[in-house]
Amino acid sequence: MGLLFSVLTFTSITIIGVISIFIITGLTGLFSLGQASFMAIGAYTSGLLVTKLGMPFPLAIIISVAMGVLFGLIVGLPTIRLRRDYIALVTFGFGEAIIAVLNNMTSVTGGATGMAGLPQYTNLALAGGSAVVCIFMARNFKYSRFGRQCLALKTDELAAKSIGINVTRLKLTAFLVSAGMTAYAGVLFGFYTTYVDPGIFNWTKSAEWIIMVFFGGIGSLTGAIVSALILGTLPEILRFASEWRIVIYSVTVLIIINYRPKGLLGERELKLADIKKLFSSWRKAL
Amino acid sequence: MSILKTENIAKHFGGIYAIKDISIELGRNDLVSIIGPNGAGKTTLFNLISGVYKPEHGKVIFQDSDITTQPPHMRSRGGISRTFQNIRLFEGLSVKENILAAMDPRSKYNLFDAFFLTPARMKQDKENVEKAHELLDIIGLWNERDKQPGNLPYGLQRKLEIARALASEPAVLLLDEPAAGLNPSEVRDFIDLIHKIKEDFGLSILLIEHRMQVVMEMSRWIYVINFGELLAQGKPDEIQKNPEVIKAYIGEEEAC
Ligand SMILES: Nc1ncnc2c1ncn2[C@@H]1O[C@H](COP(=O)(O)OP(=O)(O)OP(=O)(O)O)[C@@H](O)[C@H]1O
Ligand SMILES: [Mg+2]
Repeated sequence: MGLLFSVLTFTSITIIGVISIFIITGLTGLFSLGQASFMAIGAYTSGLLVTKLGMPFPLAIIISVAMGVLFGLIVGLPTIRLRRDYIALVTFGFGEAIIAVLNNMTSVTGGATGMAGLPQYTNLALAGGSAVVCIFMARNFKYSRFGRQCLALKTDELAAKSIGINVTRLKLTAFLVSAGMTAYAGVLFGFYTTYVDPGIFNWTKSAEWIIMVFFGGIGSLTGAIVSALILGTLPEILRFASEWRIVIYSVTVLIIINYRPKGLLGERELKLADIKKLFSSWRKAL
Repeated sequence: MSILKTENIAKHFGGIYAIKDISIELGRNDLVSIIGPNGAGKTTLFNLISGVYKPEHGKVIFQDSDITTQPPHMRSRGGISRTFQNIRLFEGLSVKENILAAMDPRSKYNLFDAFFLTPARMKQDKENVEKAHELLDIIGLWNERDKQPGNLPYGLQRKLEIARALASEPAVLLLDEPAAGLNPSEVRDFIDLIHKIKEDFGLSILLIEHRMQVVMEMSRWIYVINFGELLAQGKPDEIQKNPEVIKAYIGEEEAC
């Protein structure tokens, strides 16, 4: 039971990270290779506020999310006008720089040995509930004027400008939303593991989330969630086959990318009706 | 009284002028055409008016204010809409969503409303959907509303681009070869549609078109551009008889 709870808690946190990538990459078409550093910002800000200043957890959450957005603004403002490939590079550099800073500010952050002794405020209910709220928010975002305009500028910036979309501003908005959301995932993470070190949040984490979004189908929120569920739990399920874990994981990803280049669901969304249909066809088969 | 004009506007690419000191004028509820051989600079002129390019010199005046330095999205919000010669629809959005997307920049609700489905958002989106439905009906795309634009036949894609341009409630509509690729029966239908939207929406239309049937029938006034310069201007019957215009077009045919 304990293991199951822990897997589900981590998966919920992963879902929040993947949703933030869905907003910035799936909807807006920008690549943030330093996304996980916003998670670090969330984890460290909240961790320090609670352990060093004795701040109440809810207040620490709010400040940490605000910090994520603030850092998003610092990276985003000068870079968001750049070409998409440069944005990927700059966010990558930013992410690694954050890790380096956390590694070197030993007196405050504990450096490479990490920050320990966080109280375990996060439990499955909080993480799972948060994931549900984030899914709800992302769904509403996708079908709002913001989401539609993001998808429009993702396919054609020139045409997007011609219908009145302020492309720069909208990209920044999407970037800040995802930065804030990822920072929150970081808070949940830190207060679940009770210990964080900078290495956890390097670019491989960001890449992992991006893979998950592509695996699920770029442009599909439900695809991203399903994929976070599968790829997030797969390594845990495969724990018995320890050496083979990474192989099976990679092969799964490769198969999907090969046979379904647009991902599991492409741009479609899974609807309740689809799931019902699936179940009834199973029942018939049995 | 003109609603839109350019004053001695110029743009060059690598030292070669694509548009050289061109002044044109469009009146209210007017239809003016720009014609000229391939590569004459017609699309470049549209790009200058819609803000895709900044001119080397000269001005764009819209409703008596100088918009030469305004970014494209502000010009659209100000009331200048356009279509593209090579259709540019939003794949990944349905036909209906393509139209909604063009209304969205003027929707009022904020991020919070978007995330938490506040009444302000629900109301605004509902109104927009109703307006989009009306527009789809007028343009003749009702049955296609949930399809992907890429799956539409060519003629309907052209129509969708016009519908999307109308969705941002323009005062001026710039149409870049909207009848290109249409078959003769579609052209007839197209001419009627343009007449209808021009009257219904009180539009002023600037039209680039190669099909002389369309141009001669619809325009009040025609500008002829050749090698980036204004070759002639006048009423359709004057342009048809103009020896210089005939020469420019024959020259083009010989070159082909
Ligand atoms: N972005 C650009 N960079 C370089 N040259 C350009 C650019 N856009 C246009 N040109 C050049 O400017 C000239 C005018 O092009 P433009 O597209 O305005 O012609 P046009 O009149 O619209 O032609 P067509 O009837 O073929 O559409 C051409 O010689 C073209 O090659
Ligand atoms: Mg052209």
